[in-house]
Amino acid sequence: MFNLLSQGVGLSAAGRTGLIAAAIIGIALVFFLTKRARNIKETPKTAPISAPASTAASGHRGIQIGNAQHIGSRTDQQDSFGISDINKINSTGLLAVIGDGMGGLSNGAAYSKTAVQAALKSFGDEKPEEKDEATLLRVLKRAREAIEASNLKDGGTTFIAALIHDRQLHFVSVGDSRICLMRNGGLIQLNREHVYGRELDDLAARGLLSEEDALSDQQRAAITSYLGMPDRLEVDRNINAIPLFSGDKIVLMTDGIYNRIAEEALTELLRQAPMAAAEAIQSKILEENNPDQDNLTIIILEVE
Amino acid sequence: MGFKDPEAAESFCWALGYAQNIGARQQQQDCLGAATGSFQGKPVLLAVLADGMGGMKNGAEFSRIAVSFHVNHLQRILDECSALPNVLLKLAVQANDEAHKIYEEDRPGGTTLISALFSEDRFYTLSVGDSRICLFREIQAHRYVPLQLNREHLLGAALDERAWMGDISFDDAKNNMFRDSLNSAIGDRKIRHIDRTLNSTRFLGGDRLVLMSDGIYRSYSEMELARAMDSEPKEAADRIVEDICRKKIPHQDNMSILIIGRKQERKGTADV
Repeated sequence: MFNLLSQGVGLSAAGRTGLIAAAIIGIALVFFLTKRARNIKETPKTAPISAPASTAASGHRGIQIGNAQHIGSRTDQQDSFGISDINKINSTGLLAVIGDGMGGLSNGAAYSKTAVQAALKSFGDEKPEEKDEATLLRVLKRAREAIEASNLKDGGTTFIAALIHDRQLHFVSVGDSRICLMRNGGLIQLNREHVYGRELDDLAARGLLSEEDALSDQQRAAITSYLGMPDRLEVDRNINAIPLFSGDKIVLMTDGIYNRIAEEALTELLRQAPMAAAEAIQSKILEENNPDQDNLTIIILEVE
Repeated sequence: MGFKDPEAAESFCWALGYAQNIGARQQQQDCLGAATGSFQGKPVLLAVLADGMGGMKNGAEFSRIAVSFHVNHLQRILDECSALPNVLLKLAVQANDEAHKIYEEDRPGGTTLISALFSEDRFYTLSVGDSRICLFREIQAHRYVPLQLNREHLLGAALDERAWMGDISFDDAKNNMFRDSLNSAIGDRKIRHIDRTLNSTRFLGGDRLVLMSDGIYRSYSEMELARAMDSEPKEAADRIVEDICRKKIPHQDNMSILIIGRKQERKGTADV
């Protein structure tokens, strides 16, 4: 299995060995991702691997892929993302994963990288008879276990994963990163964010807190479920498969994206082909030169 | 059924259609309704549907209370709330309190609840139980495709999740005798789980938002529903219920469907 992973760092020596043995299309995908990595402020730990630029590496067999990532104004890149081996789309499907390490807690970067790597590795262990719904739960479980088995402490990461298989979508979500469907020019958020604001609103609805206090609480955006937390995990996912149609775009993104671009502008830019759209969205956000710009990561999967 | 100012909906920008049938059951335990109101000077439309628990007594009464509460108290809740996303939540919580009073009279029961609140070209949704909210969007001329928006509160799905997270064994999840039951409904002391959107969704010209009980979606596939959407909401709702009745399915459950569209506009592309 060939895993594509970016956190603003390059691939390990073992990864480079694996890449050399990988298919031409896979190598070209790495080329595109390391090209994206040049946008970050820190120097990649490994040099980008050169590859034929003419390969149509942004998509294969019915799915076009686009992605972008940037450190923003932060000193560390704590987002991680990955996409499964595109050569296996027709057998096991395509898995896209993003983790947004908790910036306010230590080791956020390590948390997100650990989760994403474990998820992609686990995806390759899928049994042929396993249902997509179970595959995603298993992938999430492995990501969680990898974090628990590590030496990481006092941190966490959001986790969103989308599995496209036989033109059907399943997703799983923990935290406040977003999964959206762009269909015929309109954006629809699919997942529910795990934020403290929900609990505050519930208290207000039951008369235990004023609505004003609930809306103005400074912890309103705090994440209430994330990988790395010691308590019981709350998971959001779809039970019934979502049928996909030509032209549909699945968009996975961290809050560094959706908090910095209006829906109208995002929707307009998403009309482009996935890679062009991802780059345009990143550029649009960075143009603002916001001194507080968070890490930003986006993956766009278009169904052909 | 409970409707307050449905004609008003038409005078704004929404087109409504609804249909119901008792199916092969002895009692109609579904209820649906709609109402219009005003929020900060702008018109809003509420659509609500409830499916009383057939296996529990008093299901019809619970669904009626839930829907009529929504229809009759919409404006009061709109006046109390400063944020539109909270309106559906407050309505659901207070409707639950009202319904639970029956429980306290030693008449147990329950109902599902699904609701949608429209303001201009955007909407919010809320869901408790296993009724469905689906968005049908026209991707090509006369071709609609479905998207289920809500999560169904099914105990089996929740048990599977717990098993994968290591909280219980897979055997325990599989063998739980209540696996096919709901794990949230209106009527309990407190609603256990509520699925709702914090952020609104844009409603494009040509879109159809469909609220339906399981008597509809268990007897009519998503693609059958999609084909029916290529007509005005009222015609579509009537056609769907008529088609299901023609199937003469044994033990056919109560059927209820409520369809909202944008008035007059049926475009194949988004308004930008």
